[in-house]
Amino acid sequence: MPYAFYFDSSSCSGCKACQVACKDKHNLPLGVLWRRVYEVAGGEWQPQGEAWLSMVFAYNLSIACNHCEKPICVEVCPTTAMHQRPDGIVLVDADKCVGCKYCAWACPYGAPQFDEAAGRMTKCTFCADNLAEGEPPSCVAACPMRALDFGERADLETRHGPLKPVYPLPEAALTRPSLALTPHREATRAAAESAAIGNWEEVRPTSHRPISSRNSDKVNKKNSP
Amino acid sequence: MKERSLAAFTLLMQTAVGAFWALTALQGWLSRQAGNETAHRTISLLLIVAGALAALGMLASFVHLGAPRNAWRVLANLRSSWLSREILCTLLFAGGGAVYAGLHWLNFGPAILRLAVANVTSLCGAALIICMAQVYRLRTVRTWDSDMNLRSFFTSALLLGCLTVGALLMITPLQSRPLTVALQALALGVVVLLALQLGFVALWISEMASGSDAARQALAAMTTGRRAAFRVRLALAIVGIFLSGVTLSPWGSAIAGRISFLLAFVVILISEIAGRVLFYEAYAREGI
Repeated sequence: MPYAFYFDSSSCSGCKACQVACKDKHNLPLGVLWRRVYEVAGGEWQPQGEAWLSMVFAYNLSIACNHCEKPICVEVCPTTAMHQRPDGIVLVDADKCVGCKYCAWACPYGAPQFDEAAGRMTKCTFCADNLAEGEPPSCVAACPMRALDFGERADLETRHGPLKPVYPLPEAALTRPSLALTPHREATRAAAESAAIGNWEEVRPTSHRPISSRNSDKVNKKNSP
Repeated sequence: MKERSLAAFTLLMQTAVGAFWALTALQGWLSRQAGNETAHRTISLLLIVAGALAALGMLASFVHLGAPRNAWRVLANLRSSWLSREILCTLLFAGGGAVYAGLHWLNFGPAILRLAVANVTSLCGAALIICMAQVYRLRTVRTWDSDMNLRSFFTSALLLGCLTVGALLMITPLQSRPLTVALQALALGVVVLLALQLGFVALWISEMASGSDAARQALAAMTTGRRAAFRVRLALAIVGIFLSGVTLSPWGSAIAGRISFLLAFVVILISEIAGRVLFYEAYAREGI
C-alpha cells in the first residue's frame, strides 16, 4: 500500500505553512527545503479599445518528494543509500550516502536536497515517524486551507484521477510520482504562455538547474533594476 | 560551472584510455622500427604518463564527493546504477594498466601474456567510456539522453590519446625517421577524428534545435550564455585540423611537423576542454 500526497492547487493560498512546518519539524539547515511552494505566474495586460484588460494569472504548487513508483534517484544512486520501503516511502541512508549528488541531477522534482555542512543528500521522509504513530505528515497537518492531504496511492487516484499535466511539473511517465493533484484553473494556460516561477531564488535547488529555472531567470532579469 | 572536477575526471580518464589504446597499437611497430630496448623505454614512458593521468582523474572524481569516506560503497548498486558500473570499469582499467606496467617493467612472462593483459585492459577502457556516456543518459535530462555522449566521448578518448602519445614520442630516444612516420600516422588520425568531432557537434546542435522547447532553451543557453566557449571550441578544432595537416604535409621539414603537432596538441586540448564545459552547460533537467 504505497503512500501518496494529494495537493489541491485551486485551494492553496501560498501561505507556505507546509514548507515552514516541514523545515521546523526536521530542523533543516539554510538552503534545504524538503517541501517547497512554487509561485507560478504568467500572462499579461492586453489592450481592449482604450482600456487594458488583465490576463495575468498566478497559482501555487506545494511539492515535496513524490515517493515515485519508478524512483530515478533509487535507480541511479551508486551506494544504495537512496532506497524505497515496501510502503513506497523513499528514504536516504545518511550512513551510506557518498554525497555525489547524482540523485539531485536526475530527480525531476528537485526532491533530493544537498546538505553542504554534512556533505550528504537529504530528502522528505513522508514524516514516517508521524505515520508510525498514526499522525499525518507535518506539512499536511499544518495546511490551513486543507489543500494538502495524504493517503494510499490507489485510494487517492480513485478519488482524484490520474495526475494531469501541470506546468512546471514533468511528465508523470518519467518516474510515476505518487501524487494526486487538483490543478488550478489557469494551469493549462501556464505552459502555453511562458509562465515562470516567481520565487525561484527561494525554492531553487542548492546545486542543479532544471529547465523551469531558465524562464524564471529571464523574468527576474527583466524585473531587476 | 560547478562540475569542474567531473569535467577533469572525464577528460583525464578518456585521455588515459586513448593513450593506452595508442601505445598498445604502437608497440609492435615500435619494436620493429626502433629495436626492443628503445621500444621498451618508450612504452615505459607512455605507461607512466597514462598511469599518472588515470591517477589524477580518479583524484578529481573524489573532489566533488561530499562524503569521500563512503567512497568504498559506490560499487553497491551495479544492478541499476551506471555510476557504480563506471567506477568498477575505472578500477578494472587502472588495475589492468598497473598489471601490464608491472609485467612490462619486470619483463615478466611471455609476450603473448603481456599482449593479452594489454588487450583486456583496452577492453576495460572501452567499457569505461561506454559507462561514462551512459551515466549522463538520464531520461529526465533530454539534452544528454542521446547517442551523442558515446560518439563524442569515444572520439575525445582517441583524439586526446593520439595527441598525448605523439607529443611524448618526441621526448623518447626514437630516431628521426620512425618518429616522423609515427607523428604523420597520428596526425592523420587526428584530422579524421577532429572532422568527426565537428560533425558530432553539428549533429548534436541540430538534435537540440529540432527537439523540445527545453532542448532549444538549453541550446540557446549554451550558444549565447557560453558564446566564448562555443567559439573557442569550434575555432580551435578547425585550427587543430590545419596544424595536423602541416605535420602530414610531405613538403615541410621534420622540425616544422613536430612543432605543428605540439601546437595542435595544445589547441585541441583547449578545444576539448571548452567542449566539455559546453556539455555540462547543456544540462537541462525536466521539471522543477
